[in-house]
Amino acid sequence: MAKVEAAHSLGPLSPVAALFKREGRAARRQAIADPWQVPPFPACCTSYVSAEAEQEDPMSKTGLAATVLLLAGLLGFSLATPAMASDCGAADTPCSVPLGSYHIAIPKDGGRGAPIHLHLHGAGADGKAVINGGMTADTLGRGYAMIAPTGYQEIARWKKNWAVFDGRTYPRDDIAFLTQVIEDAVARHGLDRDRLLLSGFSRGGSFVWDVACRAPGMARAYAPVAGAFWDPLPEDCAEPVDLFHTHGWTDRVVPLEGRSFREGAVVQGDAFASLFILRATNGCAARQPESAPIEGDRWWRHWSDCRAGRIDLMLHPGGHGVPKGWTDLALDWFEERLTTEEKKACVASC
Amino acid sequence: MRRLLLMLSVLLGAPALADPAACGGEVACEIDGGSYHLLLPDAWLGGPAVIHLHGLGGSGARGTKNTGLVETVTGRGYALILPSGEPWLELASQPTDWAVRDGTTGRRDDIAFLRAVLDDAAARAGIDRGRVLMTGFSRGGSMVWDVACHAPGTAAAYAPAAGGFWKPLPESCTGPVRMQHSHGFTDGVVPLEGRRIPIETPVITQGDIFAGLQIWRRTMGCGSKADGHEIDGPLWRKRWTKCAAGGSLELILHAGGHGPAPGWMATAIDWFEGAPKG
Repeated sequence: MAKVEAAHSLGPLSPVAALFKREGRAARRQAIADPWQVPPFPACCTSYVSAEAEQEDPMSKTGLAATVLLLAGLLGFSLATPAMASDCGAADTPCSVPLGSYHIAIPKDGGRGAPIHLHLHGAGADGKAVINGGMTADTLGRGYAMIAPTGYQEIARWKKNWAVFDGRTYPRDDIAFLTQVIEDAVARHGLDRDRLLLSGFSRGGSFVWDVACRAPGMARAYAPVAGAFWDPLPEDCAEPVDLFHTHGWTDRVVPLEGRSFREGAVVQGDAFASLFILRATNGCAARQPESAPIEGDRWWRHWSDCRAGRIDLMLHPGGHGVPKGWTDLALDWFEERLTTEEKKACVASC
Repeated sequence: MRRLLLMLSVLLGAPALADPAACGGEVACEIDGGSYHLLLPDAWLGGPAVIHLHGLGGSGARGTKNTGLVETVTGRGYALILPSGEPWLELASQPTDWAVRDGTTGRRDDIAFLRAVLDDAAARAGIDRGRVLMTGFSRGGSMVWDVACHAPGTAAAYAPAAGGFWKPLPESCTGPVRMQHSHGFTDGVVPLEGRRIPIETPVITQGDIFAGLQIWRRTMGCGSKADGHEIDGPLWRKRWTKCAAGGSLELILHAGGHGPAPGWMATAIDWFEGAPKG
C-alpha cells in the first residue's frame, strides 16, 4: 500500500488522476473500517425541508401568495382559477423573478398538485423555444407542468447560457435563479414541489449535473442530455441523487469523451468521469452496473443497486440532440423513482 | 531482411520446423523462464506475427486448439505466437496469469519474458520483428496495456480486448503507440468501469477503462475529442488519430459481454494493416 501512495505522489495530477487518487484513499479508509462496507454518506435531504421553510417568508410577495395558496389548500377551497393565479408564462409573456425570467405551461385540468418538468435549454436557445417545442406538448400530455427558464450570462459567447462550473465566474447565480423560478411557479399555480424533474440539454444538461452535485435538494431527480461536468471536475458530490444521463455516441459537439476549447482554457469533461464521480457519491464505485441491457440501438447501464440513489445511462447512436421519444422515457423513469420512497422516508427520519 | 534472417537460420543450423527436435504446433518452444507455442501459415517464408496473450487460467497449448483464432491469424499470413502465463508465486493452486501491475509482487517479469519470446520466435521462424501485433484477452488484455505503456517498442501495435489497466493506474505511459481497445458493453467480469476483486488478498482492483484511455490520450497528445465516431452495426467505434506526439487510439465497444467481439481478430488485423473498415 505504501507503494501505491508513492506512485500517486509523483508530479501534479490531472483532474481524473486526482479523482482516482481520492477514490484510492476512500478505498483504503474503507479497508481499515470494514472491507465490505462503503464509507457512510453525508446526512441527506436537509435541503428538502429548508426549501419549504424559505418559501414562507411573509415579507415576500411570493411568500404571501404561497401562504394564501397553502391556506386555501388546507381549507379545501379552490381560490385560484388559472387566470387569477397567473397572467404570465406563455411564449410572449415570460414570468419575471428578480434574477431573470421563465415560461410555463400548465396541463389542461390545472396546475394544482401537478408534478413539474423543468428543462434547461442549450446554449443560444431560450425558454421560449422550449415552451413552443415538442417537449412541452409531451410533458403536458403526461399531466406535468412544463417550466422553461431562460439562461442569461453576459460574459458567455452565447449569452443565453448557464453558470456551468467550468472555471469561469459568471455574474448570475443560476442555482439562486432556478430556486426563484421554482418558488414563483409553485406559488402561482400550486404545483407539487416534491415531484420535480430537472432536465437539460447540452450546456443545460451540464448545469443539471452541477445542480445535482452541488444543490441536490432542488429537484427530486435529474435527467441531463448531451452535457456533463466541465473541468475542473468536482472532487465529489453533496449527496446521493437519482440521475438519468442520455448521450449520443456520435455527438461531436459535446462528445462523450469531452472536448477542449481555446487551447485547453475551457474543457468539457469526459462524461464517463462525471458518472464515476457520482457513482462514488452514490456508493457504487469500482464495480459494474447491476445490468447493462442492449435494447436495439439504445445501450443502457443501470446502477440500480447503489447504497443510495441510482444512476442510469442511455447511449444512443445519434449525434448532438435529444433522441426521439426521450420525454416519455424520462418521465417514465421519473415516475419509477417516485414509487421508491427512499427520499421521502429520509425526510421523515433524518 | 526476412529472407536474410531465414537464410541465416538455415545456414547456422538453428532449429527449423523440419527438424524433429524443433518446436511448433503442439510442441512448446522452451526459453529461459517459460514457454510458448508457435503456429505458422502454410508455405511460410517468414513474415508478420500476432502474439496473443490468453486470459486467466489459459495457456499457449490451449490456444493451439482455438481453431477460429489459429485459422484467422495464419489464414491472413501471420505467424501465431502463443506464450503461456505462469501461476502467481508458482503455486500449483493458482491459475496461470500475467504480471499485470496491480499492486501484487512476486511475479515473473513478463515484459522481459514476452520480449524474449518474440526474439526467440524471430530467430527460429523468421518473424519480422517490425510487424508484430500484440493481442490479449481479459487479464491478457491487461498485460497488453501494461506492455504498451511500459515497453511501447515491444510490438508495432497493440489490440487488447476486455482488459485494461489495474490499479494503481500509471501517471502516464512511456510513449505513443498504435492501440485498438475492444470491450463488451455488457461485460460484468471486467466491466468498463472496473471492479474490485474482493476474493484476492490483498484486494486488487481493475481500473476504469475510460480513465485508462485518458492516460493514453495525454501520453500521445490526442486531445479528448475523438476525430472519428462511428456506429458499425454492433460495434460502436471512436478513433483518435491526430495525436501531437504520434500514435493513435481506437475504442470499440461491442454489444456483448466478457468475450471477444464477433470477428474481433479479423477486425484487429484489418486495423493493423490500415485497411479501410468493412
